[in-house]
Amino acid sequence: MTAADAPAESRPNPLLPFTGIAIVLLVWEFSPRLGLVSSGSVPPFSDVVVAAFGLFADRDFWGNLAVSAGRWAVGLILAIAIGVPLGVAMGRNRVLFALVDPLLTMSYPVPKAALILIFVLWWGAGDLSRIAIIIMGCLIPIVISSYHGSRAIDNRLVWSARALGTRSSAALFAKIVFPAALPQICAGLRLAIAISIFTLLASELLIRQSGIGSYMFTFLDDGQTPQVWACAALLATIAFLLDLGYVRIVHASLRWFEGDV
Amino acid sequence: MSLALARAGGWRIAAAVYPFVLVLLVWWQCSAHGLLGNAFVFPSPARVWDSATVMFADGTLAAQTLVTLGRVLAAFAIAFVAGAAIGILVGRIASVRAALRPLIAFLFPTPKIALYPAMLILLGLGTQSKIGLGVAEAIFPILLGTAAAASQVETRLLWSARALGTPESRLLWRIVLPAALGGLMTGARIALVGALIGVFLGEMIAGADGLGHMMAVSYRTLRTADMYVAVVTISVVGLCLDRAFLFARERLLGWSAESDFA
Repeated sequence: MTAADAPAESRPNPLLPFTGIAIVLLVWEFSPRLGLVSSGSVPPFSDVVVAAFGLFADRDFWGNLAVSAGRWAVGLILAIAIGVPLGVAMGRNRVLFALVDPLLTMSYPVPKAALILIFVLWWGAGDLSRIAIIIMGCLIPIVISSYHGSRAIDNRLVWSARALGTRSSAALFAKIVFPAALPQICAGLRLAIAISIFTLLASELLIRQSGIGSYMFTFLDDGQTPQVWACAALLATIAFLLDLGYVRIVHASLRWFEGDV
Repeated sequence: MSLALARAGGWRIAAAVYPFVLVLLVWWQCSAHGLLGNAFVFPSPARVWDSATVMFADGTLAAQTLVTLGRVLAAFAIAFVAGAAIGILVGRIASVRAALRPLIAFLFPTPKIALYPAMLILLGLGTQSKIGLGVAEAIFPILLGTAAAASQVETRLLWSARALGTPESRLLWRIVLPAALGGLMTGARIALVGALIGVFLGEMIAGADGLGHMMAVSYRTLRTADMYVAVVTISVVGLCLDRAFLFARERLLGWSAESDFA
């Protein structure tokens, strides 16, 4: 969706994108100051910014953020390592697809983050449970997009590669199937990144021990409202920047790929 | 022909039943051999079934399920109406799109759960904060699906309708909304599960009732079998809602190619 295919008769004012944000921030700043909402529950934006700088100076903030980031990275990498080969294999093998797809369909509406309570019973509240829950959370979009990616391959590519002497299925996978499926896989990964962060934070809010989610909840327990809002806003910003960075990297590295990630 | 149809129907039933059978078998075998822990942390399906019948008999299971279901449907309804309305505006009016795009681009990928502590402060510990999280999870798929479809309404359709005398005020209902319905419903399917997950997690993290709260309390009071009852119940509710939605969409979109998606 670009501005070019907009159904509008005239070009919108270039300042409009900024006014949208400005209005939200002004409402946030002045509705507590004017007493429209209680400043105890919604602190003015400027107070939240001050609180955010306070968090930057707190060693615990960075420590907990690093703990969460480490779990997230390990979980996501493992999910990719499991999900992409599984999904691509499902695309090339109908029996495997028939076996795995109903399981994915069944587990789709299960709130995966809730399983953290059960994983904690099995494996304790440490990193193993945290990483397992991230894998559970984001496996489905990775598998499904890899499946669709490898399904969409033009069979003539595979035939040509065979005719030109690529015999082993491993080589066929590495040289033809995987590169051709890559754009779809990347689109699924974008979803997986968002879902994995969601799952991680939800599990840290549920079982509070370490990590940025439990760090945020201690402010809620202590009634430090500006810090809660600052934490929430910073996490939202981090997730947004990750998403933005990911889209940029994919577009820069997959030059043959057209369309939305 | 009829044989082939019957065979296809048999396969469909087998494919629908097979995952449940497999999960039950694996669950039963793992618990019988203590693979993931003893009977306390990993009770057998039979023990969980016993807990469920006890909770069903005293009415708590049905009552908590209804509380959660009501919140999910409320969150979905709010997200559906608001997401469709904003989506149409964003899709059809360039200035609205320009004004809202940065906000939507910012909020869409953020984990809404990070905002839940702030919602608890703003909306309180009761039903409102759960619905709030459900709406936050559900609105973006609907909004973006509707906006994408509404922005691609064929201009010729609008011209034809105008030429045939459709008044401007009715173009929205006669042309734009039907054309955007496919995108709206595709987003709404994701949104329904999103609302369910949002409400359930909201109840788990802080609350006084609902299936999510039931699970959290069972964890704290170490009634482990009850936790499994809660997880299985919410999953069944989610599956039923998803199936019911697909059925409704089939009815509503029978005329369009969109209904071909399972």
